[in-house]
Parts: sequence; C-alpha cells; structure tokens
Amino acid sequence: MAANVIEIDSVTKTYPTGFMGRKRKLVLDNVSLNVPEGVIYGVLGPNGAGKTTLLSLISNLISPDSGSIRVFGRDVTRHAQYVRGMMNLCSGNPNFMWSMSVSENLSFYARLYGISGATRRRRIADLIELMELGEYRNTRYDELSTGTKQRVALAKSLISEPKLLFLDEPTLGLDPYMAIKMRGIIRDTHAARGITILLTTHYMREVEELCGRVVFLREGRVIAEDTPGELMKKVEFKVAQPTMEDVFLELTQ
Amino acid sequence: MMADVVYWPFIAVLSIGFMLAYLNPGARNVSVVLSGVIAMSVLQTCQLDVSYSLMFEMWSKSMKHTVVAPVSGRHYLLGAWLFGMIRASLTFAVIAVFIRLIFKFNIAACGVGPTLIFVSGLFLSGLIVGMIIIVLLYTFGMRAEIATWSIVSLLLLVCGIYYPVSVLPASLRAIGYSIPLTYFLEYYRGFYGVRVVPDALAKGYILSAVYIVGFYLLHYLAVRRAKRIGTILKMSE
Repeated sequence: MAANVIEIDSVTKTYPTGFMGRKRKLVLDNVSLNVPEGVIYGVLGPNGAGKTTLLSLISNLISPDSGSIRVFGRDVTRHAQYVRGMMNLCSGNPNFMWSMSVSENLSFYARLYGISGATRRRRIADLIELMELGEYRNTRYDELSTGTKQRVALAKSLISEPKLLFLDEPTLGLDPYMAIKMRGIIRDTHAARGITILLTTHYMREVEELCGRVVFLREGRVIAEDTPGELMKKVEFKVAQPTMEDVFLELTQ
Repeated sequence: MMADVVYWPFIAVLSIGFMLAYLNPGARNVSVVLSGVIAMSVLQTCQLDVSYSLMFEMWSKSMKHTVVAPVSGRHYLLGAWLFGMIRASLTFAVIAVFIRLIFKFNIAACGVGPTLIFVSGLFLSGLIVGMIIIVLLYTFGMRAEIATWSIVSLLLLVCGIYYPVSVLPASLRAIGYSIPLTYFLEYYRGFYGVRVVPDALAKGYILSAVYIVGFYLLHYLAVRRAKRIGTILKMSE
C-alpha cells in the first residue's frame, strides 16, 4: 500500500467575521483524511464547501485553528520551507506579475524555487512548447486571454518539477480543445513522474477522467471519500448508468 | 523604474539647491541642507525597493504564488534590500555628480570612509522603513499603501533632514533621537563644522540593530497573523 503523502488530522478552520471580527465563521470542521502517494486526488463539493480552504491549509497559505497537517511526514507549519520545496500550485483565474512577460514570469518563479542557469532556461523552453505558449513568450501577462493565462499558470506550477501538485480548477475558462489538452498534460505528467496531485474542479467529466480517489466536502465536513467507481456504485440503484455528476448531486443535496 | 533613480533626485537637488542659492546661508548650513537632500533621496530609493517587493505582489494579486515558494521571509527581505542598495547607490552617484557640477559641493570632501559610513547608515534606515511598511501591509492590507510614501516624509520632520535636531521642540527632539537616521546625519555633518551629539555613529548602529531585530520579529508575527485570518488569500484574489 502506498504511503500517505498528506495526512490531515482533525483540522478545524474558522475566519473572523462581523463587527471587529468578533464572530467566527466555520469553514472546515474537524476534517481528517489521508492522500496516498502517486494518486490524482479529487477534492469536490459545492461552492463554499471548503475545497480551496483545504488546499490553502495544506500549502501553508493559511493556518488551522486546531489539528495537524503533515506532508511527506513533515508538519507544514514547522517545516514550511521543506514542504514548499516539494510542492507547487496552479489556480483558476490566476494572477501573476502583470507587467512581466510570460517568459519573465516563468523565470521569476523558477528562481524562487532555486532553479538557475541552463536548467531554468531549458525548463522554461520545454514548458512553453508543451503549453503552446510560443507566440506569447514575450507578451505581457495582462495582455493575455483567460485561457492563455491558465496555461501560463500550469506551466508555472510544473517549473519546479514538484512531487506534490495542487490544481485548483485548472481548466477554468478554457475552451474545449485546451481543456482536453490540459487534462492530457495532467494525465501524462502524472503518469511520467508519478507525482501526487490534488485537484479541485466543478467538471465531473474531469474527475472521471483523472481522479483515482475523491473526497466530497459539504459545509466544511467530509461526507464521502473513496474511488469514483465505488462512489458510483452507491448511487447505482437510483440511476442506470451513474456518472460522477449523479454522485455529486446525490451527496451534496 | 530606473527613471526614479535619476529623476526625483535631480528635482530634489535642483529645487533645494536653488533655494540655497537664493538664501545664501553660508557654507556650513549649505552642507547641512545638501546632506539632507542626499539622505532623503538615497533613503527613499532604498526603502521603496524593500516595500515594493511586497506591494507589487499585492497589486498583481499574485502573493500566494510567492508565499508557497520555498523562500524564507529573511531571504526575501535581504534580496529586496540588496536590490534597494544597488539602486540607492546609483541614486547617490547621480546626486554626487549633480551637486558637484551645479553647486560645487563635494559630497566626499570629508573622506571616502566617512562618506561610505554615512551611506551605510542610510541603507540601514532604508531597510528599517521598508520593514515597517511591510509589517503595516501584512497587518492592514492595501489600506497601508499610503505609508510607502508618507513615512519618509514624517522622518523628514523629526530626524533633522534639512536642519539640526537641536532646533526642534523638546518633544520632537526626543522622537528624533530615538531614530537611527538622526545619528548618521549628525555624524556626517560633524565633518562640516556642525556640533554633533557624542558617539553619534555608535548610537546610530546600535539603534539600527535594535530596530532591525525588532521589526523582523514584528514581520514574523504579522505574517503569522495574516495566515491565521486569511489576509494572504484575500490579497491574491
């Protein structure tokens, strides 16, 4: 059995809200789960379920109120630099340095991950080719279309050759051709490098194509966690040939 | 960005220099004011690069991508400060040339060593001001942006940028003497016949060390709070 890359133990997260932040809004409620090594792990749920919060906690962008999160056996708070060196992030509606070109942005983030010289230039060239960004290489980021920005975001997330990759709605805003290509890149990258991927998406077709395991969140709690096949069996009696969309509707209504 | 290394110092030198030509205050007072022009320009250039390192991320809403990278806070600050020192050195060189050509004032008349010591004090002050702004940005978000340009103006009043601190009322003088920049200005002006406080240089460096350590700790606490209440995520959306 594969080791767990991510171990989340009884994590709760609230945000201050109301006048002077005196009230607390519960976003994640006592969540525990393990992500095995080498899988594409879907984090699903309706809007406001806590998906992005969960990813943000694991990547140490926010800190939990209670509980612990370990990545590759190390606590994400106490060993933040080690964990950050092993992972990277691609989010939907990505924002990067607007005045810098595509290649300058990729170069900037490559340097932040300690990639220098010929290695950096080669990786940037390879990723620009992979993401079909050649004609946009010297284009300012704020002049790019939404879909092109998304491709830059995925390129940036792969520049450090991470062992753990967070994809937060990676095909958001892409046309069908690019969405299919992106899913292919994700699948091929996963197959070639055996990296662990955490994927959030609202496209259940993507889940069916990519995910080896999924977890469903609703109102900050885990309501189901299994392989897509097993989850579909649970709704088989209601629908003849259930899809992940049927599973989503069944679990989240 | 290189334009502000040349443009603003040039404007400052011209406006202050012509004012001095009009007032004709005497050689010692000219040195007091022109050393202030140098300090203001070098300090502002240095601190802007430290504070801009975070502000560009905030304006671009790209902070989270930098925060998840394996760069520690101290490396980030040091890198920004190093860049600030390089650009501030260019500012210093530009001002030295302008002042020499236009007003026949030699910035390094007191010697290369004391001049470099004075400039090192300005760099340390630039780091301190930049760190203050970064702490304010993490704590209050973009509302603190105004501090980037206003803190140095406040320093103008109490550090004796254009006048000795001794002319200030007692309350402001006390504030002035709690700021490291005051002592570096006093040290430099001492070479031009201005009476200075004893041990100005030692006090400047000791205070600088205290402030740098103190504001680095505040920076750590501000980042921790930002992660607790979700500020970094809000500034990335």
